[in-house]
Amino acid sequence: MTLDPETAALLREAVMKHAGRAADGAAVRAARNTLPGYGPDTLATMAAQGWLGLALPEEAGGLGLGIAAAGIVAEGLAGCFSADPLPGLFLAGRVLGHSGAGADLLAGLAGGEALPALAWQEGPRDFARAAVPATVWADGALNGTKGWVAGAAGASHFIVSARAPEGLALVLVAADAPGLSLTHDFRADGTPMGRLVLEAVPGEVLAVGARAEAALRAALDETSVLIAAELMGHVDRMMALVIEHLKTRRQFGRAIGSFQALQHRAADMFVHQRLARAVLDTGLARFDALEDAAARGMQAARLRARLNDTAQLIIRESIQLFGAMGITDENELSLHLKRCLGLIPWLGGSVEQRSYYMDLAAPAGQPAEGRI
Amino acid sequence: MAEAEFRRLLRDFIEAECPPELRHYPHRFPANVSMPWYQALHRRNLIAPGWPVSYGGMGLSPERHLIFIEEMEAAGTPWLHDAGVRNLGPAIIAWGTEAQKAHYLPKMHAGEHIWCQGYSEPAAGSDLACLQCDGRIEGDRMVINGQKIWTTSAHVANHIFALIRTDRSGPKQEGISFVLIDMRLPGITVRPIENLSGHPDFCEVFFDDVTVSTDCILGEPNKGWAVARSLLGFERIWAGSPKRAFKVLLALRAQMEARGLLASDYWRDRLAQAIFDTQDAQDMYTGFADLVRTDGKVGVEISALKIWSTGTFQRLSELLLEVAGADAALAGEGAADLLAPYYESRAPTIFAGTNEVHRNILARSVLGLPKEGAA
Repeated sequence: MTLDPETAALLREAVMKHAGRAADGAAVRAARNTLPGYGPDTLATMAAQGWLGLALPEEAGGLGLGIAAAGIVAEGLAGCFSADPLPGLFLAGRVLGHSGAGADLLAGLAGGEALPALAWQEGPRDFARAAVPATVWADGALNGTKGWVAGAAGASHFIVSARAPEGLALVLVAADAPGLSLTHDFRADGTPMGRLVLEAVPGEVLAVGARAEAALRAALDETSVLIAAELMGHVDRMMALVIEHLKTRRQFGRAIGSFQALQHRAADMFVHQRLARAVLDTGLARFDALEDAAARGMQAARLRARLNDTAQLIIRESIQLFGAMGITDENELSLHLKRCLGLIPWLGGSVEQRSYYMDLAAPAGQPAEGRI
Repeated sequence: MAEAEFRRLLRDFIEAECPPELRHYPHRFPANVSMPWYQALHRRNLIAPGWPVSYGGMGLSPERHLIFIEEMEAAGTPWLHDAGVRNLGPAIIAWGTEAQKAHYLPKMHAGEHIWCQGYSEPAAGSDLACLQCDGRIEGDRMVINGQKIWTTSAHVANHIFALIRTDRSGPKQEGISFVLIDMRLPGITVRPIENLSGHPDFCEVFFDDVTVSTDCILGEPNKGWAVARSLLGFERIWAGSPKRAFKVLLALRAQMEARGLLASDYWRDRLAQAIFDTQDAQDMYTGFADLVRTDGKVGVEISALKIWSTGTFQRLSELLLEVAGADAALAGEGAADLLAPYYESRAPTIFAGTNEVHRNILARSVLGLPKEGAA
C-alpha cells in the first residue's frame, strides 16, 4: 500500500501541532532518569490521535496505514524532543501483527490501554542474529535475561523471544508474572530501557519457528525505519538551530555565518541533510510496496545507516559551530543530540546495518553474482 | 507513444547503430571515431532531444528527455562533441535572429558544424565574469584578441561560441557579448592540452585579430552574460548523475571478489559503504529528476547532488586503487586500467561550477547565510 498525499499532509500537520504544544525542554530535562520516560499526557494524546494504531490492521482497531505514515509521526515528534513511547509500542505492535496472534492485545494497544513491550535483545550487537537467543522456552517456562527493552517501564506485557524445540518462539508473558524481575538502564537522554531476568516464567506462545523468525525480523526492520525517520526530524531541527546561530552570532564585527570557512562547513552539512532526506523519503515511499523480506531488510539497512551517519555528522558539526555553547546542556541542541545518541546504536548501528545488508545481498563470504 | 515503447525504440536504434566497441568508453573519442554515431542520430532525428520540433528537434518533454538520457547512459553510448546541439542550440532558439537560426541550426544538427564552448580564460575561472578576451567593435565588424582555455573539444571543433569583453566601462557582468565564431577564420590558433589520463580533451584557443561580423553576436551586444546564464537550465542535473560512480562500484565489487577480499569484515564494510553512498546518490538524483518531471526545472538545492555524486565518484575510484594493492602501481589496459576512473573522477568536482562554488551557492541561496564579508 502507498500513503496518499492528503493523508500524509494531514498527519504531518497534526503531529506538528502536537509537537509545538508539547515541546517543553524544561520538562524533558526534569524527567530525565525517571520512569516511564515520557510525559503524563503523552500516551493518551497519541492514542486519541490514532498514532499508536497507525500501522496496525483495521480489524485490530488500527488505521491500517503503512510504515511511511508511522515515519511521518516519528519524524514530527522529534519537534518535542522524543517520539517515546511510540517506537517501543510500534515494535511490539508490529511483532504481534506479523505473528498473527494476540488480537485482543493489539486492540488494546491502539487505544493505549494495553502496553506490550518486545524483549528480544540479549547482547549489544544482536541486530543481525535476533533469531538465535540464549533465553530458553521449555516445559512451559522461560529462563534467561533480556536487555535494551524499549517501553518496559509501565508495560502490561512482554513479548519474549526464546529458543524452543521447534526453533524460535515468541512468548507472551504478563508484566506481573511470577519469576519475572525488571530493572532499568537509562540512555543518554535519560529515557529508560528495561532489563529482564526471567526465572521459570510462565507464558503463552504466540508463534514458533519460521513464522516467529519472520515476524521478529520484519518488526525489527520496520522499527529501524521508524527510528531513521525520528533521526531525520532531529537532524532538521539541529540544522535549523545551528544555521540560526550562524546568522545571529557576531564575532570580528560581523555575523560568523558570513565567513566562508563556516559557510562551506554549513553547506556540507546541508549536502548530508539533503541526501538523508532523499534517502528517507524515497525509502519510505518504496518500503511499504516491497513484499520480499530480504528487499525490505536491505532497504531498511540502507536507510537506517544513512540516517545514523548523518545524525552523527550533524551533531559533530553543530557542536563545533556553536562553539562553547555547543557543549552546554542548556542549549536546546543538547536535547536533540542526546536523543540521537540514544537512538543511533539501537536496532542496529551503521556497521551492523551494513553487515546485515551484505548478508542479505549474499551470504557472508559468498560472491553476490552480479547483484549490488 | 507509451514510455515502454519509447524506450524500446531507443534501445533498438542503439543496438542497430552504435557498435559495441564504442560503448562504455570512459573518454571522449576523436571526432573521426564518434561522428558516424552522431550522424546516425542526426539521420533518425535523435540528435536534438530538447529542441522544439519546429527547429528540427524531437521536442521532448523534460520527462521524456530524462528517459532519453537514461537509455543512452545505460547503453554506454559514446560521449559526443555535442556542445552545439546540447548547449548552444537551445540558446540560439531562444535568443537568435531568424538569420542565425536558419544558418546555424541545420548545420549543427547535421554535425557539419562542431561547436566548442569558449568561456574560461587563464585569469577567469570560477570568477568567469572578469574575462578579458577583447572584442573591438568597428562598424559592423568585431576584431577579437585574447585567449580562452580549458575549451573542451576545441581541437576537433570548427566553431566556437565565446564570451567576449566588448565594453569595459561598467560592472564586470555587463559589457560581455556572446559571439559565434567560425574557427577556420585566420588568426585562430588551437593548442590541445593533454590531461592526466593522456587524452587531449581540452585546449587553449588563441585569437589574434580575428575579424567577425557583428551579425555573429547572439542576443544583444554587451548582454552576453544573460545568454550564458540561460544555458544553465535543467541540464545541471547531469552534472550530479551517479552513473559514473555506479560503473566504478561494479568494478570495485568485481575486483574485491576476484581478490577474495569479501571474506574480510573490513572489506565487506568498505564495499557496503560504497554501495550505500552510490545508491543513496541515486535516490537523491531520482528525487531531483522527479522535480524536473513535475515542474520542468531544478532549484538551487541541486548543488547538493552535484557535490555528493562527484565526491562519491572520487572516493570510489580511490577505494578501487586501495583494493588493488600494489597492482594499482602498474599501468593496465581496459578493465585492468585502474587509473582511468581515478583520473576521470578528478574533473567533475571542477567543471560545471567547482564544488566550492556550489558550496557558496548552498550557503547563500539555500541556507540564507550572509554575504561573505558582510558587516
